[in-house]
Amino acid sequence: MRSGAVTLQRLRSAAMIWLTATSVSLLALITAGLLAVLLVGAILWLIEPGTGQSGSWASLLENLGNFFFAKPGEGLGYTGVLPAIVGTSILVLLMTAVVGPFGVAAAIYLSEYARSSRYTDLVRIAVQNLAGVPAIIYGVFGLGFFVYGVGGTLDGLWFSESLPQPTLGTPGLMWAALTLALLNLPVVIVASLEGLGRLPQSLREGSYALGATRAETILRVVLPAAAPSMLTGIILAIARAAGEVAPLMLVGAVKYAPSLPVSTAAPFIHLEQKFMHLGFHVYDATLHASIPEGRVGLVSATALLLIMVIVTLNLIAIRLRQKLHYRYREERGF
Amino acid sequence: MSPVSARRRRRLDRGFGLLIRIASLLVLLSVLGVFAQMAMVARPLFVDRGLEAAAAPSSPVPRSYVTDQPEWVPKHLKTAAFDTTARHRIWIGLNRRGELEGARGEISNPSNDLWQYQPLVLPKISFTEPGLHLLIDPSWRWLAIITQAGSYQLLPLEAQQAPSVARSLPVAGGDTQYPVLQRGLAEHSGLTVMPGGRSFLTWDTFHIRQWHWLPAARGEAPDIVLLRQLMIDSAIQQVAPAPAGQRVAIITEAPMLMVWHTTTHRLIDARRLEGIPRDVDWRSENRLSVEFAGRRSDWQLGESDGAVSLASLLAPIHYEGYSAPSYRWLPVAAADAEPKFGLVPLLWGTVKAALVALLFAIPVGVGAAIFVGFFMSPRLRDTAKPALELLAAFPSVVLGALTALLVAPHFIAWLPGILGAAIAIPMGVLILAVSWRSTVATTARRQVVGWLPILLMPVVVLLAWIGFMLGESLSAGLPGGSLVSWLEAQHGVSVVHRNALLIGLAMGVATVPLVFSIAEDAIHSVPAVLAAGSLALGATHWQSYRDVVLPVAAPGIIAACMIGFGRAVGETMIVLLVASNTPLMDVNLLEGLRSVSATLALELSEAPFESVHYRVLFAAGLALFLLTFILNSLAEIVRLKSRRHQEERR
Repeated sequence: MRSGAVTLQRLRSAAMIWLTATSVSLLALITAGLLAVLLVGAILWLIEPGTGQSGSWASLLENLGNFFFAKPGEGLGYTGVLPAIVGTSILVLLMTAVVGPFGVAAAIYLSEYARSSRYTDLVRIAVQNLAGVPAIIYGVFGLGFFVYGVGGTLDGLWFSESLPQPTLGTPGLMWAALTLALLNLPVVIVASLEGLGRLPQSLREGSYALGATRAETILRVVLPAAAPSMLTGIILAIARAAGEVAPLMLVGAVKYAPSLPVSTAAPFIHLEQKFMHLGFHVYDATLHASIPEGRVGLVSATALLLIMVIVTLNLIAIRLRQKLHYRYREERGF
Repeated sequence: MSPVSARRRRRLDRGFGLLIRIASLLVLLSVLGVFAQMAMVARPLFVDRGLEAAAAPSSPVPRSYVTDQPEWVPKHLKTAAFDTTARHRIWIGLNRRGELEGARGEISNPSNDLWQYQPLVLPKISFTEPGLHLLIDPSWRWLAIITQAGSYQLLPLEAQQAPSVARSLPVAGGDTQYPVLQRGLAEHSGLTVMPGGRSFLTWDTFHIRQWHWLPAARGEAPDIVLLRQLMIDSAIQQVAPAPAGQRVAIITEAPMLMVWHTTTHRLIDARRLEGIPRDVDWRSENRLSVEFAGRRSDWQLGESDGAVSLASLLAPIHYEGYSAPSYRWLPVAAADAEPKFGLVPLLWGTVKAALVALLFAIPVGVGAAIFVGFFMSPRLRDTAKPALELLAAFPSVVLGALTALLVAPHFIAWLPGILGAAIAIPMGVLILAVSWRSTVATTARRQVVGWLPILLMPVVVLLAWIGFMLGESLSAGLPGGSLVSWLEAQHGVSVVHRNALLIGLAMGVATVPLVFSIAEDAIHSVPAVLAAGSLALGATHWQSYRDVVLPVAAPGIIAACMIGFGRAVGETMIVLLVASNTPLMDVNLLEGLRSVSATLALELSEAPFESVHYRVLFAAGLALFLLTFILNSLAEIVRLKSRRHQEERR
């Protein structure tokens, strides 16, 4: 072997190792940098919100309070994020109520009822594809079908006296929840299918051998065992619902909603109201915040809150998934 | 077990099974429903409803302020120009002596009749030719006097003298684009102005021609140029444009009623009439009525009939007032101009941004995937992978917000530095690699290698800083004082703060986690035995990777790139926050752009329900949906094939 050729190969190898390691460093640096910018921006802003008052460490708590609870008209130039948090939470609750049962049911059908065939393969591919469809498309569909279609029809049936002023035929909480449920359906289905697929067949066979019906097997054996996976899917869906803004721009999120979608007056949850959303709040604050010097800080603080929520949810989901992998890795030997 | 309980259990089983089946059917339907609903909304754009016989309207036709002539206006003055709100009007005519007379009028509320009236100052010229037409140009500064023979004179509207610019409508030679208006036209020849005042129609027996005004430099007279012409096989009797322009009703001798859409140049429909038609009139934008001897028949058109075609969406169209066919997206144009639905600028912007994003995401993402999947020990990988996927948790709103607030205002100033850093980092690392190869390449202990990225982090920062400084000093040395002014001055490249490069970079950061995740899965799933065997036989890491691992992992890496492209194409928030949102068609990376998804987010809530704009937006969304669906399906098929291939190998 000529030493020249060997050296060239070794050089190439070294270059490859170092360059790929640089990619990893770059990614780590970008992530750390973004987090640092958000943290520093948020903290600096909380000390000095740029609303004209001079800042100090003591006012940090007060500004934190304002950040959450400020009402319009207090002369601060921004409103608190509490309505956005409430709006996002209600939205997520409603969405989970729809996407949980349907997603899990679809996964159970594919895994337990349908015979494995070309058709089910196609359905699985289709479902996985839909996870990659841009979120804005779901917003477009939601506007056309839910808001104008279903909402408009219901308006004609139930609220025709108040037409042309729309009651249900306008963007609102319910349509947004349904749109997000559709958006996250693939996530829940894929996560549930993953969990159901990892369960050893012996589990089901044992149950059948003891005389249980299919429904009993599913309800009493399979579901509890796969529950962590399904929960993972739902948690990932919630994280996505908090962060996706594009579809909500079309179906119900607004810059400022004068009242919360929940209240003490019946019917307690107002499904037709527009609502505030944490992600939308970041978008709106970036473009339209009325405190020019403090805009970066306000956006950083809101974004940091959003990311903390999402990262926490993701971490919980990852932990759950790891637990399930670990639990069934051992049993596969059977 | 008692039989009752067994029956109950069976019923529960069946009931549960039914419930599950219904729920999953609903899921499947909703998934198909998204596609079906969007297709149904977009369908009327391409499938015309055509002329349908309609009943006579029961309610009285709303008063048309535009065609109404206030009684005090002298009869010889006709409406020559009006704005969209019908609040400003110009009347022009020839009095009994053949002299030009005219007036301007302004009304605050069209429903009452309180006009502010002001006579126009016109040159004292008299015309004796019969059958003259008087037209005002779109800027309301010039008057055209058109003879039936086809010659015309242009006069400025507010001048005492008569500096006339006499010009003839183009004469045909061999150039079929400019046919001649015959001298001594048949009595059926006529001229009518299209609403909006930017173009007008002339017709003779078998042709209708649309002419439009082309603005000239300030102070100079505009040009009148042929825009398009339509040939009909039976003699034309009457031509009537629709109230909002663009559609034209034609009555021919056959007798037939035809509707022609000028912008897309399509005959929407043609119907045979029973009887001899006397008059055709547009009752509203979609409703026609034809008067016969003793009766009237009404016809209804679909709202989006003919407004758009595949050609008008994707090919350049010659719009009123422009000198050549062009790609344009201006669905809500100002001042009565026709709406322009060219999707190509939007598609172009989308693809441009996505390609720049991939330019960043693929090297960094696949590079990092190679390192984590190939070089790291399983323990290290378990900590490294979640840490790197933290970037995936950043919603694109946040990335877009940070870019828009922190980077965009300074991007032009930082551009040379960024380019310098982008070159300095790989080059610096290469130099380091070559000089340290004896330590790393020959020993290649996995533990040491695993720590390399962390050791490199400060090095990368240092290299970036050096590159930034170098880039800035190099750019300061260029003629013009900076890279940007050099580009603008020497090469005519226009540079904007919120340009495609910046958007692409931000999108790249958003796409990297996805590409990394999928590529890393593919590389890591290659059995370690293969690479170990290759290394044991004396091959270097690079050789093992290129010849053994890469061929097996290639489908997964390609799938990662395709899925990354799909994600970049659909990215909305970054474009909304960072872009200047100008629909430009430019190869220049330093100019702005607008993407399909951003257009959907911005315009859909404003578009009136079931209008042409609304439907075109749905058609664009459908195109985006199909594109990402096909990309993802291909990627999934590629991955499935490679997985099956791997299992066969085992």
